Amino acid sequence: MADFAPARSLAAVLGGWLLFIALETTIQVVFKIAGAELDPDLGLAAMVRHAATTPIVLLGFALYFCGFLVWITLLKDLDLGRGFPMTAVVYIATFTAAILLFHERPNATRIVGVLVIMAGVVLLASDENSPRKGAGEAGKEEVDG
Amino acid sequence: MTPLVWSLFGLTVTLDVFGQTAFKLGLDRIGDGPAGLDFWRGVATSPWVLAGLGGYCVEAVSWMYVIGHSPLSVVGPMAALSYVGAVLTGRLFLGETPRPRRWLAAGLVTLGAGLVGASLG
Repeated sequence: MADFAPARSLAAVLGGWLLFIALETTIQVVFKIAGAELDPDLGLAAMVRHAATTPIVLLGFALYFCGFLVWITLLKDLDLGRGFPMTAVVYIATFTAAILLFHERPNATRIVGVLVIMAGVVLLASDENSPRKGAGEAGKEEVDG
Repeated sequence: MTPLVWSLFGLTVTLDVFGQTAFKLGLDRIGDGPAGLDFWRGVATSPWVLAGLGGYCVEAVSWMYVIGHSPLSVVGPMAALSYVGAVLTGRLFLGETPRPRRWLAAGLVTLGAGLVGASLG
C-alpha cells in the first residue's frame, strides 16, 4: 500500500478496490447473460438495433462505464504492469460464478490452468512499482515524439 | 468456440491492452497535481484517455459477444492475457522497467492461459 499517494487513506483505497471487484464481477455476469442476445446472423445493423433496445445489454454497458470510472481512480497511483493484475481477483469471483450460476463443470486441465494463471498474477501484483526510466520522463518523451 | 469467437477474443485482449496503456499515458500526463474536479476535467480532455475509452467501447461489445457465446470459466481466466500485454506495453511505452520476476510472471500467465484454452479439447 506504500505506493498509494499518502493523501488517500487506507480505508478509501480498500473501499475503492472492494467496490471495483464487486462491480466488475457483476459486469461479467450481466455480460454473460446479455451476450447471448447478440446474434451476428441477424446482420450488423439488426444486431446493433436489437442490442440498443435490450435492457440487459444497456445495463451491461452502463455498469461497464461505471467500472471505468472506478478503475481510473485506482490506476492513477499504480504502475500499469503491476496494478492491472490486481484486478485478477475479479477472475476468481467470475470463475466461481461460472460454476455456481451457470453450472459449468471445469475439467482438471482447466483448473490447473487457472491456478497457473493465478500464480503468475500473484507474482505480478506482488512486484514493487518499477523505477521509471529518467524519473518517468524518458518514456513520455518517446511517446510524445 | 467458433473461429469468430476466438477472433473477437483476440480483439478484446488487444483493445484492453491498448486502452489500459492509453489510460496510463493520459494519467501520467495529468500528473499528481490536479485533484477533485480538476482531475476529472483533465481525464475528460486527455486525448490518451479518450482514445482508450474509444477502444474500451468497441471492446465492451466484442467482449459481451465472446462471453455470451463461450464458457465463462474459459474466457474469464484467459482474459488475464491482457496482463502480459500490459507488461510489454509498460516496458515499451511507459518507461516501466520490469524485473525478471515480472517477465517470469507473464510467462506463467501465458502458460496457464494456454492450458485453459487446451481444456476445451
